[in-house]
Amino acid sequence: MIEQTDSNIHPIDSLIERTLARDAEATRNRFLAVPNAPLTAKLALSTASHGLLGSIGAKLALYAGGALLIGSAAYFIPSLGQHPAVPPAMPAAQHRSPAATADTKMNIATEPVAPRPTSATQNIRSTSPSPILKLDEGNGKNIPRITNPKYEGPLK
Amino acid sequence: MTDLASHFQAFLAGDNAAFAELYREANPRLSAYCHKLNPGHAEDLMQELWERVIAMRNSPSSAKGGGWGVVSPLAFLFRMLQNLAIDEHRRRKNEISLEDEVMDGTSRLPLTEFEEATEIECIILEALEKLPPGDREVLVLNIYSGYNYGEIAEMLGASTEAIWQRASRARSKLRAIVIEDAGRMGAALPRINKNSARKKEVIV
Repeated sequence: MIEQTDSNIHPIDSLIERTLARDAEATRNRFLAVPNAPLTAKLALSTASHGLLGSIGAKLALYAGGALLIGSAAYFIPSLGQHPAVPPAMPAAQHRSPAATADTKMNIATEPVAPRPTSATQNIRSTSPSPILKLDEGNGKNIPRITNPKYEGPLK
Repeated sequence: MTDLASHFQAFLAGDNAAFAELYREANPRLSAYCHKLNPGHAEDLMQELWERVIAMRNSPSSAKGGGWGVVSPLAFLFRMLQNLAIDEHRRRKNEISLEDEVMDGTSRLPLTEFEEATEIECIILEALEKLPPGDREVLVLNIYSGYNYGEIAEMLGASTEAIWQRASRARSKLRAIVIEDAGRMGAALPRINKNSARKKEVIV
C-alpha cells in the first residue's frame, strides 16, 4: 500500500484507472474460462494417447529390463557365461583320419572276373525259403510249409 | 508451490481436471493481455498456446517426469504466448494480403469493449495504445490481466521494484498523453479540487 494525497494525485489519474479497469473487465469477459470444444477434443485425444504410450512404454521398459538383467547375469556370472572348454566330438566318420600303417601293394588282376550279384540282388532273386525259418502258431506246432513243386519263382 | 504450478504439474501427470483449472485461471487474463497487444489475433494465439500446452504432455520431456523443467508456469505460459505473438507478427508481415492493404486504417477493432464510452474515455484508451511497448505491457498485465507487480516481475524476469518503477513511469506518460490529446481535442477534463484534503490509498 502506498499512501498518496490529493496533492500528488492528479484527478485525471482516477479517471484513467477507472476507465482502464472498466475496459479490462469487459475484455476479460470476452474470453472463456472453460476450454472450448476443439481444445476439449484435443485434450481427450492427448489423454488417450498418453495412456496408450504409457502402457506401451511400460511394457517395453519391462521387457527391456528383463532382457538386460538376463544378459548381464549371463555375462558377469562365469558359470553361466563360460563356454565349454572341450569342443564336442565330431562324428567318427568325419573325424577319422586315414591310417596307413604299412606299405601296400596293389595287384592288377590279369584274368577277367565274372560279375557277382550283390547281396541285394541275391535277396531279390532268391526263390527258396530259408530252411531255418519256422512259423509258429502259438501252440508249439509248426505250420507245414507247402510249396508248389512247379513254382519257379517270380517272372523275370 | 502455487496453485498454478501444482495444476500445471498435475496436468502433465495426466490430470484433466487440473487442465481445466489451469485454463480457468490463466486463459481470461492472458487473453486480455493478448487482446490488447495483438488485437484481432488473441483467440487464435490463445488457441495455439493451449494446443501446445496439451501437446507437451505427450512429449518425451514430460514423460521423463521433469515437467519440462518449468519452475514458474506463469512465466512459462507468458513467454510461450509472447513467442507465438512474435511468430504471428512475422508471418503477417510477410503475408500482407490485398484485403489487408485495402482495409488498412478502416478495419481497426473497436477501441473499447464497453458500450457508450465518453469522449474522454476514448482518449484514454487511445493514449494507452500510444505508450511505448514496454510501458504498455506492464500496465496491461497489471490492469487488464490483473497480475500484481510480483507476478509481473516473475513473468518478465525482473525485480518487483523495477516493475513498480516502470508502471509508475508508464502511468505518468499515460497521463501526459491524455492531457495533451484532451487539450488538443477540446475535451473536458476533471479539475483538481484543492479544497479536498482527504487521503487516498492506492492499491499497488
